[in-house]
Amino acid sequence: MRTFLKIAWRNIIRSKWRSLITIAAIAFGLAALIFIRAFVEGADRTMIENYTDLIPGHLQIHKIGFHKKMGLERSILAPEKLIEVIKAEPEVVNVTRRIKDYCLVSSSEHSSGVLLMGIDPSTEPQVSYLHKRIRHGEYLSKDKDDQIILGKVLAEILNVELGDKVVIMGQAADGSLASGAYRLCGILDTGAEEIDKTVALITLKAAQQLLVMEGKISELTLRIESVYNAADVSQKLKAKIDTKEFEVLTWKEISPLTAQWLEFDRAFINYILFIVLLVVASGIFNTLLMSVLERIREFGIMLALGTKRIQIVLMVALESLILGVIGSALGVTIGVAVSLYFGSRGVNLGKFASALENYYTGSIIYPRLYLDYVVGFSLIVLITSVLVSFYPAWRAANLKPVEAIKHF
Amino acid sequence: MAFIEVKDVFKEYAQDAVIKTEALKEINLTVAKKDFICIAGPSGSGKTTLLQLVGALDKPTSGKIFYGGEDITVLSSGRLADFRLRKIGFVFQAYNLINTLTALENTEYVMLLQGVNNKERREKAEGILKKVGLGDFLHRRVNRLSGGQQQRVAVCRAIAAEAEVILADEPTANLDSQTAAGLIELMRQLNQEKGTTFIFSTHDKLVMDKADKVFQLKDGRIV
Repeated sequence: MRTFLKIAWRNIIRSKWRSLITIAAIAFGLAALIFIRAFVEGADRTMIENYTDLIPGHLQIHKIGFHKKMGLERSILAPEKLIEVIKAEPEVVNVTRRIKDYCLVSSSEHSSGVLLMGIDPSTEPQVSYLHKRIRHGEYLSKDKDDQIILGKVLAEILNVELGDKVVIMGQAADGSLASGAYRLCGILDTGAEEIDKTVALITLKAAQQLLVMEGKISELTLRIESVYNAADVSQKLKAKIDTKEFEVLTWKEISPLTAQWLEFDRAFINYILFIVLLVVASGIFNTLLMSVLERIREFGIMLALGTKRIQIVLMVALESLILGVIGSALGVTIGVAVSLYFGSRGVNLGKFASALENYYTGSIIYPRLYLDYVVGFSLIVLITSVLVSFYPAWRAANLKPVEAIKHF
Repeated sequence: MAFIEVKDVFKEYAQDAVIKTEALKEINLTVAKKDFICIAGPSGSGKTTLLQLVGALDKPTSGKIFYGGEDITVLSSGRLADFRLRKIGFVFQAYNLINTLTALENTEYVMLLQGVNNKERREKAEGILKKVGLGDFLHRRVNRLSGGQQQRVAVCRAIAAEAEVILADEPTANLDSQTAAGLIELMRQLNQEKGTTFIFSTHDKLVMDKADKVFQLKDGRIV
């Protein structure tokens, strides 16, 4: 084995440039795989986190059927007991109460349909980060129930400014006409038009008064330790609460379109990564085949001396493995270093800022490294580099010694 | 019983579907153990082909080759590889050493394939190389040695493997007369001391004179 290893190593040294080009192809290929994946991981996870940090939260609990058909008749009557059960789950960080209903908002000039959300200003900031997206004015206060926050686009449509009065109209839970006047205290600017155009926030107490919902709520929104464990926590909660009366929904179930987009994005990137892998593989294949064709005579001598075909295959595969190990080590170093560098500084995609805001990613993407795919890609590249050596190795092993030793 | 017996051997090479060249015709040859035999003849007479068949590097188109009573023409490629490894040593006109290895490593190579342990392999290879005057070149890559030195390494490789038969195809063709004489002397010495059977080809009269028996080949036939 040592001698075959030595021969393999010396063949690598013998053709320095060819070996360097192969090592570089493996290294840059692997580095590209790692960086692309880190970048996409960063973009996707930022998107998930930003998205769930706004309205959906990580999990939502409603009266059954509320998600499909929003309505005040599907309200949670006494949420305190439910909150107690939810908070007992160790992975739950916080929970907030909300009322949601579709209403009409009017200024002195215009009207528009809105998703009215009554939120608890004391607990909402521990579940969603809507308060961080107030660009003008201030967030709601617990003791000021006559204030309202409107989305930026909605405020433009209504042509209102901070301090202006707007009127909310809708149907109350008891069927009566609900109507209330509120003063604009803040403008919400999330960058996502679907929110900025349709959302109006008032305090929970104000919403309960407006819609005749004393003590009732529409929704419990949860923040858990990791949004990526939402499905697990959902299962645990379903085991503890009456699922015939309440629905427990993860953010993916709340917004299947976003989840599908992420899956499509992942599948698309996997195709790109596969193409990069093919390019790397063809580079190694080409080098090894050239290397074998250059050494037909040498293999002929070895076969003539009694070297077994399997030993020839082993030697060529070893050569490829050595190139693979060096290339992979270098590739991991470069890939991790570049990903870490941009992971701390971010990749500024300012030119596409408005489009990216709509996808909740923000204009600066921070690549995120995870050990699983760094190890996974390294192994794939290493295994590929050995696999592609089998054809050149097979060619070398099946030479006829008497013909091969005549080859110059 | 003959040690090696070549019986009614023909060898044809097909250039294409129509044109075939007969390299050997009706070859019958018997070699005893410890023989020091020369196959002589002009270029193209079939010397190399005959040595390749006896060395199990190729198979005859027809006829049989027996080695210690066993027909080697019917062996599989795997068994032929093993046969070459255990029984045959080769010394080629073009040396045919592994250029990426040193003189010592080339000499060790066949022993390595035979499974000889590291220490024994190293000691034996060093001893043989020193004996043929290559003690100062043990760790030099063979492509940096002179032709004569390379040919001596090739002989050392065959000796180290303890081959029963050493087949040498025009071993002196690329050497000056003094080096050639030294090499033949070395081969003769091994033949006498170790009982190794030598079959070598040449068209050099001086080399032929050193052989016990000379078989003349002409146009693929022994004449």
